[in-house]
Amino acid sequence: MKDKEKVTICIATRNSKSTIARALKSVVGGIRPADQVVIGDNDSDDGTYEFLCELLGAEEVTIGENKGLPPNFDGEFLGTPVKIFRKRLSTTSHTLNMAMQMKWEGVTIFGFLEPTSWYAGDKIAQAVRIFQSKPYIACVVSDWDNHHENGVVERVFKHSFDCNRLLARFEYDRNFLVRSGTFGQLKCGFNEQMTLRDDYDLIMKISEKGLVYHVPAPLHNNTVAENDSEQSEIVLAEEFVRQCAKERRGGVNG
Amino acid sequence: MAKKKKNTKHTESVNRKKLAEVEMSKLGLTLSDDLAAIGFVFTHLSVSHLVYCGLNSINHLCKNHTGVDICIFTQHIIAPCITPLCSVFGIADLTRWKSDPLITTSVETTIDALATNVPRIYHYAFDPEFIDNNDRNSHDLQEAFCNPRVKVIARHASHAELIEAEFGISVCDTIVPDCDAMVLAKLVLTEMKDERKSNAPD
Repeated sequence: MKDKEKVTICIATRNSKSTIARALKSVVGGIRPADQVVIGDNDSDDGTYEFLCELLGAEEVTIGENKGLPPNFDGEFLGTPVKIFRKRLSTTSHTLNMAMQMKWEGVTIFGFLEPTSWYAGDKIAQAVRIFQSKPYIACVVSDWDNHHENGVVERVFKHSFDCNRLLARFEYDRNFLVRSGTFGQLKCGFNEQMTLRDDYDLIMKISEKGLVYHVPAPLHNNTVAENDSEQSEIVLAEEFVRQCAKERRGGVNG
Repeated sequence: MAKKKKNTKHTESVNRKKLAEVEMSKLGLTLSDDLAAIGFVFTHLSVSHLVYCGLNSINHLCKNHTGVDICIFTQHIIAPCITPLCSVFGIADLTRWKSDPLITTSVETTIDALATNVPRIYHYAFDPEFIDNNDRNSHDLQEAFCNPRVKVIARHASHAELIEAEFGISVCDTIVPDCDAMVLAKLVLTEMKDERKSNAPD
């Protein structure tokens, strides 16, 4: 499939050794593979970075008297360039912002992927088609399939974007694609201070610059796992996002 | 005998007529048909996926096609995200809408449309609103999808399957993505014409 878009997929890993290969395969395979993948490892202690180095064929380097894996490496996986780096522990949003900065020149679309999730074969192709069809679309979100531990696959239906509905609740997840020019308009990326719901914050900001387009088809897959975060913390984070949005809008339409 | 001069004005009018015929045929209409009117009912005209795509395609329809008159009704009067090129009315004016097709875009707007005497309402179900919505009155949902005056049009095949399974109704075969006013107009006008033909005395 030929198009003029340059798609970079950013993934932030943290102890994701068991799932990262599946996530990576999903974005470099499919109808329209990504043009580049950047994976930032957030100080994993389960060997995620070592596994990624092995996958890409990175060899140990010697710096002075120290010998070890390189802090960043440019490799290739199934024909697609993949850049990996590791960093000290910080928020996922900080890692993703760093990953975006490590992109190649000329990127037109950024995609984000949770390391526990994986894209459907046509997710990137559909997103590219949608971005090309209407210039006012800033972000593409979609429905997904939930994969439960007992093997049950559940189709998740979500509502389309509506400014009032988004202000009331966050329906989507981090597995969305954004037109790279939108970040220029926003003059920021993910909110690095937020440990939770930074994706909600970003989509809220994007919705003030362009249209958030919802595809009513399951274009990615999520694994259902127990959420470590307390529900009360999520509620607080969401409330913070709403307050920020209201302040930005200065009372206009909420 | 002098050669008869060609009437250029006549040729121009014939060409214009041909063009109008082609445009109208795209909507399933002919020049002999009465002026058709279609009403779109939105909850609001503020920023949303539905309104943005809907208003864009309605404006395109208004600009490029003759023979169809579009009216928009909205429940909440707030500044539109795109300036519509057609008339916009409040929901109270829906009572003046008579027999032309009406396209509603949510459960709420369908309920409002059902309160009028409009014989045929096309409920364009952009979202599966009945999911995760415990506040919604189940009677309203049943009415909005199952009332005999309502015909449901879905945005995606999976939504159509879901609605059919949930309410036991038959959803329109044509799937209309992104509130494409052109496709919706053609669909409802063709159905209305067929219905009128079948009801006409032999």
